[in-house]
Amino acid sequence: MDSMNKPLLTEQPVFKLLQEKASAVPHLKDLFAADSDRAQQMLVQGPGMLLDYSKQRVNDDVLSALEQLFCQLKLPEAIRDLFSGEVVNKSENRPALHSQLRVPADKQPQAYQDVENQLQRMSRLVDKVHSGVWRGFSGKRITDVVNLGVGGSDLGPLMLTQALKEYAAPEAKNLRVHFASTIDGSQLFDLLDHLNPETTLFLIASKSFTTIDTLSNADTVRAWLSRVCPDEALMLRCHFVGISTAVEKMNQWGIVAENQLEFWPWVGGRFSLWSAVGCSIALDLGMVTFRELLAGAHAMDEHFRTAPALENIPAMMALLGVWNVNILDIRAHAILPYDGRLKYFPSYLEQLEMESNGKSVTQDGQAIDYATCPVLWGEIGANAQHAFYQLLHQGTQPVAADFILAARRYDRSLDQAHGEALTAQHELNIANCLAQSRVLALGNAAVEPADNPFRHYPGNQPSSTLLLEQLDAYTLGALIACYEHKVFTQAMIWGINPFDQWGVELGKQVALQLQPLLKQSDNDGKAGLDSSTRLLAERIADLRGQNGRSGK
Amino acid sequence: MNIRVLGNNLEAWTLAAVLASTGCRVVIAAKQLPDEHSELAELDLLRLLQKQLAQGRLQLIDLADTVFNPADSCELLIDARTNLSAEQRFQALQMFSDAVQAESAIYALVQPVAVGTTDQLQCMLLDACKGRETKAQIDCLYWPSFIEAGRALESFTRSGRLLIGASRLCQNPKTEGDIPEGVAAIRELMAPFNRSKDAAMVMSAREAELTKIGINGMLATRISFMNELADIASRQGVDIEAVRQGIGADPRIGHQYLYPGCGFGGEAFTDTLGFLGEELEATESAQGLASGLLSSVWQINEQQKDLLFQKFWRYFNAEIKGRTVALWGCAFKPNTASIAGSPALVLIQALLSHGVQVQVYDPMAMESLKLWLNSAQIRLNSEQKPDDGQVVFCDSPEQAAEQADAIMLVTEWKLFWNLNLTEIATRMKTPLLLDGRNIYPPKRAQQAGFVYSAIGRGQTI
Repeated sequence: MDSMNKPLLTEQPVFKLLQEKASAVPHLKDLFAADSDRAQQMLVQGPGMLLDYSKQRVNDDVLSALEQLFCQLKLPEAIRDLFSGEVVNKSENRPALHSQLRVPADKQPQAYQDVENQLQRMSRLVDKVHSGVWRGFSGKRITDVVNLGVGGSDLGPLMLTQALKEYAAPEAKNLRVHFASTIDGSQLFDLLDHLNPETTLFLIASKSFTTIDTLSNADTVRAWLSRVCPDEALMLRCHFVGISTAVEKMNQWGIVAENQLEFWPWVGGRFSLWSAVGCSIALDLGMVTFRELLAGAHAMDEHFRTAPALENIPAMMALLGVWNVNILDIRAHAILPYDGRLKYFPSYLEQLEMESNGKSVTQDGQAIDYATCPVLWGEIGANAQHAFYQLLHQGTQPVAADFILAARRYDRSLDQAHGEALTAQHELNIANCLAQSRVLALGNAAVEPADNPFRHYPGNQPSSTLLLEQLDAYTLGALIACYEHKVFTQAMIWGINPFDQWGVELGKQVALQLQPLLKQSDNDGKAGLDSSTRLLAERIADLRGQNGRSGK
Repeated sequence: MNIRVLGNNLEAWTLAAVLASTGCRVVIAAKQLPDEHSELAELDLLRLLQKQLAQGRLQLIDLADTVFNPADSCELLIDARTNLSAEQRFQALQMFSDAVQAESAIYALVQPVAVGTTDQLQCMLLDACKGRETKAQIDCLYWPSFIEAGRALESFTRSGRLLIGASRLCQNPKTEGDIPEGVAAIRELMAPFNRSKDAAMVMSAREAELTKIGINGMLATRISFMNELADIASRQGVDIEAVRQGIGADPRIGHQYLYPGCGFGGEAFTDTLGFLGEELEATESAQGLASGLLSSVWQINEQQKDLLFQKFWRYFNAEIKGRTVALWGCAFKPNTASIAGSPALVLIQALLSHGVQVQVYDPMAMESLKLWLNSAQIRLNSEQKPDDGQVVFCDSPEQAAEQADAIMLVTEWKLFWNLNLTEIATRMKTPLLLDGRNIYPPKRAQQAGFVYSAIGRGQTI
């Protein structure tokens, strides 16, 4: 059996080569000192953006070895398989065709006509809400939409609507779009307090339509609505839209057929914002913006599919990531967008990268002996400077980073009274972004050396900078697709499956087993539990006034 | 006086007719007089226009609004056009200035305009004349007309007040009391209608502009206030009609503009709220004003326009596809053929979007409605293209109600007040009467066999 398995990354001859080359790479300050043209040679142009990786700890030798790795691991074939719909998600026996969702309608093959059909259905729904044709149970127009979803059905749309607010279409501006995801109902608790049930529409987005977080929120909403609208059929027809791959489950819950938007099993949850899961995006920003998002992502798909490894932004980000994790042993990766609009981008990537590549067996089920996805986190760069940058500059952890920056900003505000002041802020922001990556790389060498030990900056923390022409639907679509393909490329190098998430299943099962036990007043059922869980359950019951005592 | 009138609307034609009838020579750019099917058709006005045309004091010319014939030796240019920027108005003013033969002349704006428009035009004119040999000094004035659709002639000739605002930049020699010459000329012009007591008020142009939009804004506010009260009344089971009479009896308030209803329309009101909105937005601390009184006035009015649809929806528990609605009246108010801002437009769009057939009757405004339906202004949901049969134009209110599931009364035409409701009810599929103007006593409608729901009275639906 073992002989049939693909060789592990560490068994590849080129991996040894890379390890040997690591010690020969000098400090970043020396790399820059040795070659005044370094940056020009380490620049990759892609749709709407460019990647500067000159502050990564690589030289020409390393780059050519990484290119060899790319070819030896048959990445070109893997990319071809991804796009042609091969079963790349082996543990779940299906393809991963999120890129198919972004193919322009006129190029979409017959087999995928349903993609455009669903987009049109969504477009009509969005139009009905925007134009006031969609009515709540009492005949009033919809003023608020709440997206009930979690994970892939929440993070992507939330991130995008925050990022692109300024591009909202005029017809979308009077509609307020909210997101509720948490299983504890906290967000709903706040929302239901001020929303009007007559004029609120709920989107229930769940790939399986069984996600307990989302459906428990949906049940709460149903109870909230039934108080004012006892006619259940009317309530379901006027206030609930379902977005799922599971039509039967939507029917069971009571979503009427006209209010169902479908996507397909070959779209992974965290790759689903391009499907009807993006309905909240289209409602908040307009269908035109949503289509631009798809166009940007498609442009990145084409770039990724056709550009050679060293001129391919996602491929380069993946290779440099593997170099950092597996050769330089850097196990942390910071996402640092220098743009307040990208507030939720780091949390979005946390799911995309860590849920995809936080794995330790190969596609064939073989245990692996090397690191995969690093711990990845982030924050708006300029704010993070006041939070965790201290650790980046002087801590003991090596950390790699992605700086993300839009070159143009506030172009449309220039004629406003505060336009100049805003432009000055943007310039200050650019200066901070460039300064931080410079200091991380060069350390003391960025300034005059000092003797004070507290003012010692070792430098040599690697980073890449993604420079967007401007932040709009097109470039953001391309940026997200870029990270998706980076994740895929890394998974192929590590030999793992980025499209499943078995790790999150067990916790869900155990929670379902525990829930009835917690309700029991006696302690018999809890006898089989570990002492920690048992003790906590008992204390919680005491505090809540169960276990036969009255709570205070 | 030789006068040129710009515009092709009720104000323009009314001013042209009335001023010609006082002996002025009036030129207006039009191919022909408005006919009786047009939105402007008010019979007394049409008769007066025909008479003035026959007598030669009113002259129609087939020219653009920006073309002036020096031979007309025009001394007063009345700009009654709507929805134009100062720059667009200035094109005509400048051409006028070039054509004027006399030493002095007047340019008068009569429609609601944004505050500062008159001054801005005067200023543009002065700038344009700089360094040029100009024959005439032109005073720019704001002279609001107070013409009401439905009773245009009367409202202009018996308005009981004359408001004249002069631009502070007027150049002409001031007469006694520091009043610009142009103002004195307008007072003389209006003397035939200002006899028993001098009702003229002279103020700055900005003051006059804000007064005009303030008047309309106040009236709109009263109506929206009454609509909010009607909403409370319907939820409390109170008859708003009794409340209206009680409130109106207070001499500090009075009875005018206290009628709740399914929303007001008309260019004057909607333009005014637009201008006021712009003023507020242009204020430095604009944030927060979007939720101010006037935006509420506007929003309440927009909701009112939709109210009859909502009642219809609720009555049938949202099962409205394939039903038929009789629309009684589509003019924004009685005695006009204008449908500008009429609630009927909102209702028709909502009904058609939901696959409901509409049977319309209006004594004057059906031609305007046909034009509107054929124009691009109507926006329906993409799934529901209006097919030809979805709107039926009827010859009588009875015909419109035939086999309908509801009547929506939108315009309080006198014709609707004393119909045989009992007979009408029996000929309907569902005898549901949604009265947007509160013209029927609820008891009478109920006795006639109707489920009757109005604005703050009748059955709560």
